[in-house]
Amino acid sequence: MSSGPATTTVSLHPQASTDPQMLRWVTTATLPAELPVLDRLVADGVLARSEIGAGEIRTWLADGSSWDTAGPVVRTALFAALRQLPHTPALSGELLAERIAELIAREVAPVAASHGGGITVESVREGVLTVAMTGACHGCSLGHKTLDDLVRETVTAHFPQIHTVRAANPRRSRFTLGIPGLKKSK
Amino acid sequence: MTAACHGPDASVEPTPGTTRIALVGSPNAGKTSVYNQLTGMRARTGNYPGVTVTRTVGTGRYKGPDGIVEFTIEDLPGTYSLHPISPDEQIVADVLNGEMTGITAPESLSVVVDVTVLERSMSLIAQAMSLGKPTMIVLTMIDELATRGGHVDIDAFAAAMGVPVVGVVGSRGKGFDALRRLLAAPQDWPRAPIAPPRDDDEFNAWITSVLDAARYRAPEPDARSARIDRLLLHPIFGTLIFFAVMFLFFQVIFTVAAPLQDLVEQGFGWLGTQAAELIPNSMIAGLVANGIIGGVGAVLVFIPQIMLMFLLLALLEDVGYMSRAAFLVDRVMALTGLEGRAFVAMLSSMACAVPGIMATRTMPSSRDRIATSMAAPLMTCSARLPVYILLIGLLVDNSSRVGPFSTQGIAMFGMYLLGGVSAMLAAGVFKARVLGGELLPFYMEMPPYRFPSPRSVALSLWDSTRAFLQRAGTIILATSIVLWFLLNLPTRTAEIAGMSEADAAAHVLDNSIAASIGKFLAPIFEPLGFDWRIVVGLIGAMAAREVFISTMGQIFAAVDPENPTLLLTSAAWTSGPHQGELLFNTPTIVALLIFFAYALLCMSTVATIRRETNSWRWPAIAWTYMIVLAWVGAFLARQLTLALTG
Repeated sequence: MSSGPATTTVSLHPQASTDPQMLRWVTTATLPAELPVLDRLVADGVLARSEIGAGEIRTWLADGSSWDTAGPVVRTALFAALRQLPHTPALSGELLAERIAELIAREVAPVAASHGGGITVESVREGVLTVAMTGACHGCSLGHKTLDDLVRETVTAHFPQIHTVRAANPRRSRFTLGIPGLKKSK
Repeated sequence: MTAACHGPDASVEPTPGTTRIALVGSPNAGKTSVYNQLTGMRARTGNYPGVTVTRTVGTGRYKGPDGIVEFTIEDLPGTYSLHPISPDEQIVADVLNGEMTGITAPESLSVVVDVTVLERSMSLIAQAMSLGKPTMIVLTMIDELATRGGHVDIDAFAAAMGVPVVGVVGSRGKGFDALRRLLAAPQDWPRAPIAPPRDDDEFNAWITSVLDAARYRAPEPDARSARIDRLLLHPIFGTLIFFAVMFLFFQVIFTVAAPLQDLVEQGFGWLGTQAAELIPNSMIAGLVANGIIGGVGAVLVFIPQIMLMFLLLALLEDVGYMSRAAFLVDRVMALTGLEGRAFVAMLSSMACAVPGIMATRTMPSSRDRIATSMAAPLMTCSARLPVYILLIGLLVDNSSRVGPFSTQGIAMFGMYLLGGVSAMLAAGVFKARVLGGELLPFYMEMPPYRFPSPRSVALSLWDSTRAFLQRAGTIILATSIVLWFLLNLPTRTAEIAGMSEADAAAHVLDNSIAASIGKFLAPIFEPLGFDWRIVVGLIGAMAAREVFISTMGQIFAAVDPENPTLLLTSAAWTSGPHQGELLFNTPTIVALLIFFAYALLCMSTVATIRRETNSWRWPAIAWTYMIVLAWVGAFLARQLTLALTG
């Protein structure tokens, strides 16, 4: 990985979801298990509830409010809170694995699926993430490299504690006498 | 520079009853070119700023499922900001705010942005989004971003921005169908949930976050790669160099691998003799020596060529040339109306049509998927490679040269070219006759040039060699064994008593189960010069094309277990009007090459088309059109060769 996770500036943008009451606040910051600012926003009646996920905070609008007015308030409060975060908040092993699985399911799996393949998290242990790749990506001379890089970039951007990404099962070549996608490992 | 060169004033009034969309963008963002594509009006385009100063209004059309929808496009003067500094920018601000006398504000905005400078265009986009009108973003120079080593995920960018985003290549008209569809219905555009922040720090955090979500990478100023690409991606020189590289590629395969191939051949010959001598039971000895060693060995003989080819491919890919080659070929392919994703499927098919057809899943339109699946099996897959090597080896002598070049290498280059051109033509025909559809821009990474890493080259070489060996050890082995039994049963012990060993073998073969099947079908192939033995080989090739070689090895080694290749050159017709004539003469070999290039022999591919299209209709069509092409092509090639060689 050339681009390290060490962005000193905070990144934050809202993304709509299928539920108009819910906004996803996407950030590359590594999020802790809890953020006090969210409780405060709920207590102040701006938000109905909130949830911390992998690389995003999900917030639900309080009844009778609108994102036009509540949105900027939430944004400013979150922005201030994210600025104060320590660089790599400690996460329990279980929570880390769960968040990484969520991230891969959301960001990487659709890309693999669009090529007829699949990807899931096998394990997270001592900074080593093991993923299982399945399906049709083999044989495509472009696919594998792209997928490898995508996993590495996506995961390390959010979870700097992961230093190695490994594929659990070497790709099978059942039918193919494949022009291979090169497996890059740095 | 003023814009007095624009058309008559009549164009300036919006068409009544249509939505009016204003194009906003900085000078040189490609706005005028987008406008011209949309309206078909020939406004001047150029690289100097300020071409569009007066008001320009045109009508765009979208041919949707419910008929034609018209919309009005207003090309606003180029501006860097909606907080005006210059008089031109003042005009833009006034029009958008509805403060210009006699002109109502446009209903919606389309911000045109040069994607190579996306980061510094974000404030103009933010300002436009803050106006509270339906807004969308058009990203231009998408192809240039890719060729200069940049990257953007347009869907992710759209999701992060909360508004529709379309990538276009103005000069080639790519992406405009999607743009027209959007412009026809601004009321349906998604809107950003919150306007972009005004606070500077929050604004920067927003830009960072959005660009990060879109995996945006600005073009890398890698000067060395850029210099090399100026030549290698040049429309004329680049294409010439591409063909030269591919030409040399096949030259190397044939000239370098030949001595190695001889060694492997001798090795298997020795192994076969040993097996025949050491195994006491003559039936089992025959199965091992001829069926397994003769059959599978005949295929494995080509391992030097195959490894060499994968080594060269891995080197080319690791250096960074394959991406450029793909880009160049895509340019040519755009002429046939095929989109970029179809190209990925075609490229995969160079390895094997099965993953190639599976890769068509990425295409949104099922009709596009089908057209590509219909053409992909024509690409020269790696299973054809050993067959071509064998046939070309029979056709021209290894030492034969055209100038400094190996004739065999030239012939192989020709076969790959034939496959590629045929696949593109087929796709073009299916595209034109079976479907319409839009042309999407092709997004592709252009890695900087670098020295290949021995590790990754070795890995990929190992991967492909292992796959080849696996294939030889499974499907080719199994089919060879089955064919051996079909070729050696019934044993006819009584009939061959007293015959010499060679005569006995010939007699059994000539009266085997396989022979009766082959002889039954042989009349169909007689005009192509194929006898029943070749027909049996073609039937075996339905399991895997390489089985053709193993079958030939078995049949012609049955008479003489020594060097089977040598025997092919002297094999003669055993019956019928051609009796005594050479079987593998030049016209027949040419016909066989053409037949292999076109026929959909591979049943795995048929099964894959069946699975992917979920009907027997398309595999039936594919199989039929290809067998017709194969037969007619082989017949014509044979007649032509006959005429030429006298």
